[in-house]
Amino acid sequence: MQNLLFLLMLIVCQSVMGAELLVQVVDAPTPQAPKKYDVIAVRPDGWTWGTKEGLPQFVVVKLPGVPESEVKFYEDQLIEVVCVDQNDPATCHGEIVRKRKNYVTSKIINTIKTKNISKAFVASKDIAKFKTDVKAKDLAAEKVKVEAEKVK
Amino acid sequence: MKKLALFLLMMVWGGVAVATCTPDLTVCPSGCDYSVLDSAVSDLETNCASPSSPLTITISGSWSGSDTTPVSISGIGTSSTNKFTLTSTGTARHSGVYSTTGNYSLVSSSATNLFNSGIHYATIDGIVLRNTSTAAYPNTLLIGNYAHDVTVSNCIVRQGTEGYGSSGIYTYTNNANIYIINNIVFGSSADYGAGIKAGYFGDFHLLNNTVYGSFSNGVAINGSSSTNATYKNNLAFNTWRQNSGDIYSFGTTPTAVTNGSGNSDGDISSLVAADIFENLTDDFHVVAGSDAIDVGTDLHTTFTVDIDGETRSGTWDIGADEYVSAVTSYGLSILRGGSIIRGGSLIK
Repeated sequence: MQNLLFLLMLIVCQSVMGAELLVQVVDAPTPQAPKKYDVIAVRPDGWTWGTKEGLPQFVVVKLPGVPESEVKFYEDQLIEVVCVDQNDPATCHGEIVRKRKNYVTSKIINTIKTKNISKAFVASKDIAKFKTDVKAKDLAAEKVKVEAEKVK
Repeated sequence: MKKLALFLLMMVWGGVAVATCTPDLTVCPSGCDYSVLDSAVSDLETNCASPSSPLTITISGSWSGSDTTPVSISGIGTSSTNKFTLTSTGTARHSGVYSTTGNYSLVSSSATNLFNSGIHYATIDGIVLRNTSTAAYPNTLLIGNYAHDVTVSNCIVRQGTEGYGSSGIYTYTNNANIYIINNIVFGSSADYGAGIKAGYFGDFHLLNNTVYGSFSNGVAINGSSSTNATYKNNLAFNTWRQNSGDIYSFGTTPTAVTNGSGNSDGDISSLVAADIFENLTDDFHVVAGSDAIDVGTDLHTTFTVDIDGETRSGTWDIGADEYVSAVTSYGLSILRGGSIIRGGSLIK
């Protein structure tokens, strides 16, 4: 009975605390559009995803025990502040370089994709590693890449 | 055998990886193509980069909370025949009053533009946006550099926490055929920002918008905007900083500013806030007797309705809402004492 209670509490805690990531798994054809492994959306555990929020374009990665607020910044865009007049802040705004700043390098994404299952948990013991596998793109390097992609 | 297995694997892989363009996508809390607007946009960016038909995203359903993911649209080769339209319908569409429950709303504190529209031939219609970022420069709705033939209509934009240089709706530089129509923008708190800001070297048309309570500028117009630009029927009011203005131009004043309110550059300057709106927190419908009523220009060759979808008629009002005074459903009762009781509902 105690074990059952513990299990129930565990499930409740996980559903309250967890986050789910919607990750793009294919490249869009233009520079500022989403790229493979971009984290497109972050939602709380148990989110009702739409019928197209899965393969072939996306996979969902569930992070039990990780609050949504802790990983919400994965949705940030990669922007550069540009100004018509450098001396006048009223002329400045943030211009998008890439749709997303953060991308997932974890092997779990390809594993989910190749198994054609759309959605999977990251085991609790692997979450710290998963987080370190989410990398931020470097603005200067991406600007060079974007220019190269535009030439193509 | 291995080769066969590899071939089969490739076939399966190929079947999984190939997606086709679905030109009409739906977004709602449950049972639609998408639950997050930006993932629907990502679909179009990925699969419909060269569309052969018009593209639409329709938001529907009853929303218990906000969509919290910033939106950016780019890389879709829309054209005059294959345009992109984002709109809301049914309970997902606001009632002309700011709210984040029931209707769809996009709310984010991300340090980036909340809604970045970077494509041509696009219409963004009938959504609620709230930027809760405290960072500098994130605009709530940005029409990007060189975008042309873009319409933003019937949206409600709330600000209040954003940093330096942020605007509610900002159409940037080198734009052509930009129409900002029937929007309500309020609470812009950023220095060097504005409720609605028209940028540089563009062909902008700011028509019948309501802008209330901005810190720096209400409607800000750059003096080097195209001579084709028009700024008409905008109701901008209660901008805090008096050295800027409700309707304010940087540099020379465009000659096309007509029938706008404000303490500078507008030609109607006797408005009193308490007499204009239902309230000053979420409902910017105009009330009976408002100075905003019947002082506008007829723009029916461009559009004919207000933010509620009601037809504008007679002498137009300024601002997003056309006041409809018709109390059409009089309940007329003649009592034995001879008194007449009128019961009716005011249509906003």
